[in-house]
Amino acid sequence: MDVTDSELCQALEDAVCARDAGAVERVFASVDDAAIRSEDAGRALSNGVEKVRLRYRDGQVSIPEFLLSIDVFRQGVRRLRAREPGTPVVGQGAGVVIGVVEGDTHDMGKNIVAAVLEASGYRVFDAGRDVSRKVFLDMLAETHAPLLALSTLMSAPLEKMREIIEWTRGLHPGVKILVGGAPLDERIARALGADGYAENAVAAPDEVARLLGQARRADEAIPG
Amino acid sequence: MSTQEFCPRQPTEDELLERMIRRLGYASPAAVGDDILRGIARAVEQGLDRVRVRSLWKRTPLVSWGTGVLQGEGMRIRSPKWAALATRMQGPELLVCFVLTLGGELESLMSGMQQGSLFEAYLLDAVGSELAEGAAEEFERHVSSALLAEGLQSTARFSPGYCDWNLGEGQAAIFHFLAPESIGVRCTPTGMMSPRKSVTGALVAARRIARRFPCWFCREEECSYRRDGRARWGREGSSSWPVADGG
Repeated sequence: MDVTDSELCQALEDAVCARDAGAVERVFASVDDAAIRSEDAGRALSNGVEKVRLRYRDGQVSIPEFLLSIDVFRQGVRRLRAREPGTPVVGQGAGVVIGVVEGDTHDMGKNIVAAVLEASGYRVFDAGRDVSRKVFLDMLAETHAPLLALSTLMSAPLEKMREIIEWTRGLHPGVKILVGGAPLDERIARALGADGYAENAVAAPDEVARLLGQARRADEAIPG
Repeated sequence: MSTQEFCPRQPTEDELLERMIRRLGYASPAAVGDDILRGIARAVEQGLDRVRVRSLWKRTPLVSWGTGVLQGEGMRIRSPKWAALATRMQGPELLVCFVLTLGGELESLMSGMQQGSLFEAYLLDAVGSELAEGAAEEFERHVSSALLAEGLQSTARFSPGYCDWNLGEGQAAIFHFLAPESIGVRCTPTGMMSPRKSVTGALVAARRIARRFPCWFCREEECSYRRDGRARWGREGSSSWPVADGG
């Protein structure tokens, strides 16, 4: 088959936009592994998610449609990882430690945000759900991630969230903290001491980029 | 009065499909893409296949309603707003509390799915929320009409964690009052229930009730759950009353 790398990448991007898992499989089946570079293919899949994310933000697609596109993206990534185990495919940008705080096991929203952030190029370290302060702090120390994303769907764990934020400020002062979940809004997020608030999964990549931009500017401002 | 069981009617596949389409923000089935519609239909079928709604409820005479507390026999609700609403009723008489659950099968299926398909897990979660809210709605109708037959009017139902009723404290009170462990529902100290698709709540009955919820005198204009025609309801476009686990 006489197709170029860029044509294959375009086909992968289009498959994500069209929510067409079969098309992803057809692309991989149509060429041998050497015909398409994993890095390029991963970027194409991510581009597809980003396009759909922006369409969702503009009200052109629904949440189920967005999630189906993410499923297609994840299927493509699994395919790439299977053919070259250990090779970075996507999510090699800045690290994000993410988890649902102690006292809550609702993790659907967190899982969606994690998938969207990975598709947006971030390196996601998923701490899971019902996660204690110690586990979050240990993960930040191990991964050196510059951003911590915390969520809860309930009001009772908000106090735990505040504690985690305070301890993170003390032990990892450079880390930016993003929060989200049903009982939160911007005002409550600020009151808890967070740097940012994401109303939903679609807004999360923009807010992460804003916070990491702030962190970079702060670093640059330090003399010497 | 002893604890009673109530079994709501399970919706048909067609009814639930229609409700799900609305819940997800589509104007009509024609506005839904074929792939999405197939996914919703599959989630509806799986949900109805796995859900077994069980519920318990009990009523108690309302002993007092001053100082921010609705006090029954063995049941106490600390909620200044709902207690203030009671002071505006004629002859407040009863407090009714309930627990209902969809059981744990749906949850097991959902957690396994999240690794594979977020789309399918999300739809199944939404089906669970729709069924739980529908069951709570039907329970409220059932109890309200039974009370009406006794010459009593009732408020809308309200749940721990909403308005000014503290989640942990409210759940503890309801669990002590109803002991829903007998139908397989448990609660953590933070107020989280297992199975997660479970709803707890209460309502107040009186001889005459002019307003069914305290929003009309509440000054929290930005409240997400305001029930006075300006409600913003859920944050994902849900038009239904939220369940205790947040949907």
